[in-house]
Amino acid sequence: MTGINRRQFLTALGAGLLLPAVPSLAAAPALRFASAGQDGDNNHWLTLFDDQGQLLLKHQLPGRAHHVAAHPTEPWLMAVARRPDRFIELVDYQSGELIQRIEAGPQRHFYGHGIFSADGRWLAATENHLPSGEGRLVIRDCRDNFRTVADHPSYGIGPHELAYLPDQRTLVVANGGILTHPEQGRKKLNLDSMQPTLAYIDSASGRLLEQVSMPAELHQLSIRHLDINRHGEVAIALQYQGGKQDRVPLVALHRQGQPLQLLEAPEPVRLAMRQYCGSARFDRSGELFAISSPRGDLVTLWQRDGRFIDSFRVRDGCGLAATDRDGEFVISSGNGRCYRYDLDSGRKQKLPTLMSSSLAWDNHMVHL
Amino acid sequence: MAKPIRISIAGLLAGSALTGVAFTAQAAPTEQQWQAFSQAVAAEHILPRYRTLAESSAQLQQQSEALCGDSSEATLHSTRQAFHQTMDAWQAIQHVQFGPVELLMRNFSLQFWPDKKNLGGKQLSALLQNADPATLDAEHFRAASVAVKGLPALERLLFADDALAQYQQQPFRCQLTAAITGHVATMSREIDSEWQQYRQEFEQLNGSGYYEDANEAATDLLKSLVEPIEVVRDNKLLRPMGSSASKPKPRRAESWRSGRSLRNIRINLQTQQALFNSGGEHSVKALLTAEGEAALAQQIDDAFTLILGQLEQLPSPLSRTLKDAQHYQQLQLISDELKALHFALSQAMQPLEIQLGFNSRDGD
Repeated sequence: MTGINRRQFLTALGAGLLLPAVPSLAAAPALRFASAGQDGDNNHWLTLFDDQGQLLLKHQLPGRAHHVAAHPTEPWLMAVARRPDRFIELVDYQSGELIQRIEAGPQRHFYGHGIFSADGRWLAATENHLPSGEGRLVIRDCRDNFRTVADHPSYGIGPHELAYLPDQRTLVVANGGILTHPEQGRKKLNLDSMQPTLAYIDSASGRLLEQVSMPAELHQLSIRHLDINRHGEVAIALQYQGGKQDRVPLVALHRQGQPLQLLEAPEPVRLAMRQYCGSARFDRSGELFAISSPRGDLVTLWQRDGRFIDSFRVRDGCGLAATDRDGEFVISSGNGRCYRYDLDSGRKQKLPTLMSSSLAWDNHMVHL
Repeated sequence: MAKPIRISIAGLLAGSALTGVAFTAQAAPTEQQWQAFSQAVAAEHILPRYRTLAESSAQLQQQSEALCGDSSEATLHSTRQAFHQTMDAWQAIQHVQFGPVELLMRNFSLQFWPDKKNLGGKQLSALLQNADPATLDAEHFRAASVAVKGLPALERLLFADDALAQYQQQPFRCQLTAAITGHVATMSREIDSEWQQYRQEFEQLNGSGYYEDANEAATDLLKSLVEPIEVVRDNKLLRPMGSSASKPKPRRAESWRSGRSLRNIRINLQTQQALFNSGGEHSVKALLTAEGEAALAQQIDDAFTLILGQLEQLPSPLSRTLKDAQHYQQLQLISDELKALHFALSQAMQPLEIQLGFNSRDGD
């Protein structure tokens, strides 16, 4: 049934839109991806590799990282520490040298996500202010030794992923709503009262432009991961903190000025997602997005208007990256594998494995 | 009794520290070995257990219908016995949380537990109060809440203090009992028959089926070996133990109404030990031994035996055991041993080159 949906979607778009950007795959240069990963001895690495299985960088990290981002103009990769760790590692992937290890300020830790602005000037990251438990949105200057230039509230607890709107000025922050404190490890301290939100924040002034919340009965539905397309539409991957038997949506969309749109998957697919989504990414065209559900070994595909397209299986798959072709994604898994999936064929293909090193890929991946 | 186990746990940890050496010396099991392992476990371990569950739950349905025909001490006793048989069968396959049992939330429907918000109690009361015959219809029942259509709901009905009097006074109560047993029997029969199909997934491991390769198929089975140890410890032991010996929480124990909490744990661990050895020359134990980890393999097997021996010595029911300071201490010891056993089993996955799950188990 889902296969028909996929074909309907392709037909509806009309021929042409999803044609490959690169006419011949054989002639295409190798695609490069970056991700953090863990080896069998619990060492943590920032890696850059290509779709032929070539390892281009393997840089040891001081701890477990989460999100990885590539600088738009410099040959830099950054890996952001997973909560409650306190580093952002910046590495030159051509020379392999460490550019800077940014430490979170006193009484602060990172939440695993940081991004560069499109012009490469700013580095924005979400942080926890420990004394108050309030989320912060901190902006650093890439041209001035990563000096902190702004320290805004995130307007919520437990901010997680963030992204710029196409105006390159407004930051959209997923406030997961879950309070944690390093003294209590990763323990969730406020599940009864948590209130996740999506906040639109002016990066210059720190002003809150708009904020949407979950409906009260879904207040345990954590807004954690997001991606934004060129239309400014926000695709959201949710994680539910309530009962396994509760029937809750796990994917959402938002457009500025509108209410939150909770999306519906066919019930067997929703069940298979196991109340947990780990990553959201639009494809190159921005017409569709993928959501990974590592606990259910599943990736789902959605149209930008919120309609479900299809799902496919990837064992422990979490990291998602759009490739340079419309309708195509690469997915990384916790058992060290990578797959290329394209909507056109509806097939996933395993990429050659990195021979020398089997790493468990951490939650997020980026295409360079 | 405590001392030899302590020594054995220390041995376990020492053994697992050696894995690094063996890891480089031996190649991991081949795809053929994993395929042989998976097929053997499906045939020897999983299929017979689902068959037993299907048979015992069919028996339970028959007994409950007899109970409704004539509610007496004798029919209630037989139904309770049939419930115990079914629960024994379920406890011996509860560790498998993939495949047909996962479809349509059958796993939760069969046993919605732990029920932290007492949904089962509330919803069952509502059903009994309304006494609407329409709720007994099989189709209607299929759509009902998972909290009222499985073994915990049956236990509430069958093991209520004045169960017989209530059955005699309220025929609907018995009809509801029979409807639940019917649903449990149907689900068990469906799982049993669907596994005849699902087992073929362990034969077609060329990427065209559900599993990409034999290693991935084996991973599902190995998860069923390792993860339940932690679940048993956390949910079945530590939760009822509460924060201290002075504050036990006996009603958090699994199946406390039917007084079989410890029996469940014993069956669970017997099952895990059987799975560890299942497949003979193709078993996890044999594969570990072939990887040069014979000592670790033997220590894991011995730890199962020792913990089971300790459990055997504890008096039942757990609700009373918890309130005795000396027994409480023994439960703490068993909990520590389960933790060490879980650690050893997790470590054993390394030389086997099995990744049980990374993002799925510890995401953010």
